[in-house]
Amino acid sequence: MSSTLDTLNEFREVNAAFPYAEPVREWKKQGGKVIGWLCSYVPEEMLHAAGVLPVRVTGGYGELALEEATAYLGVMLCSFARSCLQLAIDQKYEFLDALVGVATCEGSRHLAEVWEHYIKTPLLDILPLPHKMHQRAEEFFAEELRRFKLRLEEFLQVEITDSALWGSVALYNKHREISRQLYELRKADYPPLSGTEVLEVMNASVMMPKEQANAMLERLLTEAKASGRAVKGSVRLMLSGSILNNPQFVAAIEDLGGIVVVDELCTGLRYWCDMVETDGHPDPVVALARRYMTKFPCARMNPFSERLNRLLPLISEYRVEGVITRAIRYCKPYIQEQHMLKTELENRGVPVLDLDVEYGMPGTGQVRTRVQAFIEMLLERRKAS
Amino acid sequence: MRLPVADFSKMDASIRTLASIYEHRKVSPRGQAELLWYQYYTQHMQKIREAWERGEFILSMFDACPAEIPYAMDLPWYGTVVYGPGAVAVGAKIEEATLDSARQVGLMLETCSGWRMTVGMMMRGWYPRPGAVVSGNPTCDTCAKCWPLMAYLANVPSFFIDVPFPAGNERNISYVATELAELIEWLENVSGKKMDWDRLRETVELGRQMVELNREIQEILKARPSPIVPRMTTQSYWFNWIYSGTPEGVHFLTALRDEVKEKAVRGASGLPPVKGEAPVKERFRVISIPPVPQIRGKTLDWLWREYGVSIVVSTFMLWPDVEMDPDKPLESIARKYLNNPLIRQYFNPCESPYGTVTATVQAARDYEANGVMIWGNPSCDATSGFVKIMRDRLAETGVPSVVFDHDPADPTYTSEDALKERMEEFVDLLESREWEG
Repeated sequence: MSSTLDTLNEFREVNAAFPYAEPVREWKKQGGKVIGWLCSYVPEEMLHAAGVLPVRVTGGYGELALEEATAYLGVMLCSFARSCLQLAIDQKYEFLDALVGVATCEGSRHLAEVWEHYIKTPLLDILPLPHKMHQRAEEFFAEELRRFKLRLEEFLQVEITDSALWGSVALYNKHREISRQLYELRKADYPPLSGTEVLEVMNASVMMPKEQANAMLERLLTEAKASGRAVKGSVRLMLSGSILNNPQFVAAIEDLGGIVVVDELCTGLRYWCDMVETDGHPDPVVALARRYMTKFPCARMNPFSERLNRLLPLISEYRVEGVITRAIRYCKPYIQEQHMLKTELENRGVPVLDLDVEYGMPGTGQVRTRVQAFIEMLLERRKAS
Repeated sequence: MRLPVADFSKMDASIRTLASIYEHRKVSPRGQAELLWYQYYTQHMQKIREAWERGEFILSMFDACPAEIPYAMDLPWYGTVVYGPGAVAVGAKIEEATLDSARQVGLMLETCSGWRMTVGMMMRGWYPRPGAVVSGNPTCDTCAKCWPLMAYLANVPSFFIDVPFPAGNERNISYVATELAELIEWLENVSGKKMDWDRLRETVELGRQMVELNREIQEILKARPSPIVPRMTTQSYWFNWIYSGTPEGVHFLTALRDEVKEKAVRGASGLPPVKGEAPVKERFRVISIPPVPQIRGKTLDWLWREYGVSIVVSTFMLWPDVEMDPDKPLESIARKYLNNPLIRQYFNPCESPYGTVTATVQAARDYEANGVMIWGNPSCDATSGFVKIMRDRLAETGVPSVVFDHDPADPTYTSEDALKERMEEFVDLLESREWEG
C-alpha cells in the first residue's frame, strides 16, 4: 500500500472513542439531543429533521464477553444484539437520550424490549416493518412513519416540518451519492482504499452529524483520487452477510492477499445504496417509506430473490472473483438463507466461502485458515482459466 | 440438490402407530376428546396419502397459517409441523435423519429442531412433494425463512403471508386480509382449484364456534382440581391449528368442553387414577408456557401422580374474544389468525397488553397458579428474548417460575432423568414456599 490519507486518520479518530465519539460529545456539549438507532431500516432523516443527532447503536469493533447480556437475551439470540446490550449494561450508551428499534428480526426486537425494561434510556418505538417489498407494504410503512413522526414530535416537543424533512432527505441523499463515489473508486484494478479502510469510514460516518461526515467524505474522495494510492490484492472479493463493524475482520482477509472491493452489508453498501426519490412525491414521509421498503433488502425480507437480484449485478460491476458470506452467530435470517445464496452463486460460477462467526470476532484462527485456502483456490482457478 | 418425490415409510408408520393408540384408547378410554384427537390426527395424514395416490395437487403449509383457506378450496394440505416433528411424539424415529439432512443445508443448533426437522423431512421426501408451499412470519424469524427454503429445495412455488409486527391492531388485520386475498388468487393459479366463497363463510362461522368453545374451556379450567389431562393442554392447541374452521374442530372442542365441564362439576381431576389406586390429588397448580412439548406428555402425568403438580393451562389456550363475521370472511380469518394466542402473545411487545409476559402474569392470577413452567428451548429466539423479563415480572407478583432447558422435538437433547430432576427441584421450591405460608 502507499501513503496514509489525512482524512482517513480523522475518521479513525472518531472511531477511537467509540461509542461516545468526539463529534457526539461535542454535540451534547452544545446541548443537542442524541437518539440511537438499531437497524438500517430506521429512517435517520426523520431524526435529523427533528433536530437530534442520530447515532447508530452497534456492539463495537471487537469481541466482547457477553455473560450478562446472555443472561437477559439467551445464548442463541444473535451475538450482535447481545453485544449492543452488553455495552448498554456497561453504561457505554448512557449519552443517548432515546433509542429507536425496528421489528426487523427477533434479535433487534427483543434487544429493544429488554433495553426498555432494564436500561434507563427510553425506547421511543419498535418500528413495524413489512417483510414484502410491494406497494401495500410501502403504504403500510408510510403510515407507521407518520405515527413515529408524531411520537418523535411529542417526545422532543418540536414540529417536524415537511421542509425540514426534505432538507434532511437532501443531506442524506448527498451522503449516499458521496458514498457511491467512494465505492466507485473500488472498481479500479488497484483501488486507492482497502475494504478495511472503507469499513472504518462507514463506521465513523454514523457516529457524527451527517453534515460533518459528508464534508469529511468529500475531502477523503479528493485526497484518495489525488494520492496515487493503489491497494494491491491478489483476488477481488465481496463480503456479504450479517452486520459487520470490526475492521480487523476485513483486515485479516486483506492481510492474506485478498482485497475486499465491495460488500453486501448493512454497515456498507446496503446502508447507502438507494436514494430517496424527491421527484413526484408531494409528501416526504411517502418518499421515505418508499426508499426504505424498496432498498437493497437484508435477509429478513421476502422473497429471497429480491436480495439475490440486487446482489448479482455487483459481482460483475466490481469484477468479484469470490464471495465471502459471513453469518454471525446466531443470526437466523442470514444463516437460513445461506444455502440458497451459495447455491445460486455457485450455479453462476462464483465461488463462495461461508463463514459463521461471533459478532465482533476478528479474522483469526480457523477463519484465517479457511480464508487463506479460499484465496489459494481462487488463484488456482484464475491460473486454470 | 435433487430430492426424493415421496417416501411414505414414515407417514405410514405414524398412521399405524396413531391407529393402534386409537384402538387402545377405545378399550381403555381416557375421554372422548383424546379419542377424537387420535382419530382426526390420523385422518389428517391419511387424507394426504390418499390425495397423493389420486395424483392431486397437495399444499404444504406452516400449520399456524389460516387452514380455512385450503379447506374452503378443497385443497389437500398438510401441516408441516404436526406431520413432521409431531410425528416424533408417536415414535416415528425421524429426528436423527432429518436433523442430519438439515445440517447439509447449514441449519445447526441455532435453528429450532422442530423447524430443522421440517426442512429435513422435505429433503428426505418424507413429506410428499407439494405443489406449493405457504408460510408466514409469525411467530419467529425461522418460520419466515425455513418454509421458503423448503420450497426452494423442493423447487416449487411458495407464498409468504406477510404479517407486520405487532399482531392484532386493526390496520395489521386489514393488511393481512389483503394478503389472504392475494393468497387465494395465487392458490387458484397454482392449483387450478377455485375458492368456494360459501364454504369459506362456513369456515368463518365454524371458526367462531371454535373460539367460543376455547373460551368456555379456558373458563372451566379455573376449577380445582384441574379437570384437564396435562398433555391435552398441548394437543388441543395443535388441533386448533390444523382443523381451524372445520366441523372436526368444533366436534373435538365440544367433546373437550363437555369432558372438562363434567369433571369440574364432579370435582374430579383431569388425570384419571391408575386402576386400583386412589384419585390423584392436586397440590400445586402450574401454568405452562409455551405448551408442554408433545414428547413430554408422560413426564407430566408422572409429575402429577408423584408430586401432585397439575398443568392447569397453557397460555396458548387463552383465546381473546374475536369478532367473526361470515359476511367479511377474509377480515374475520385475518382477525382470528392474528388473535391466535400464540401469535397474539409472541408477536406483540412482551409487556404490552396482549404480550406474553402480561398474559402469563394475568393467567397466574386467574388460575391461582403456584408456579409457571417455561420450556426454554435455547434456539427459540421468540422465547429466549422474554424469559428474563417474564421471570422478573412473575417474581414481583410472588409467583415462582422454572426454565426447563429442552428441545421441543428432539428427545435426545435433554434426558428424561435430567428433566425429572429439574422438575423435582421445582417441586422442592413450591413445597418450601407452601411451608413458609
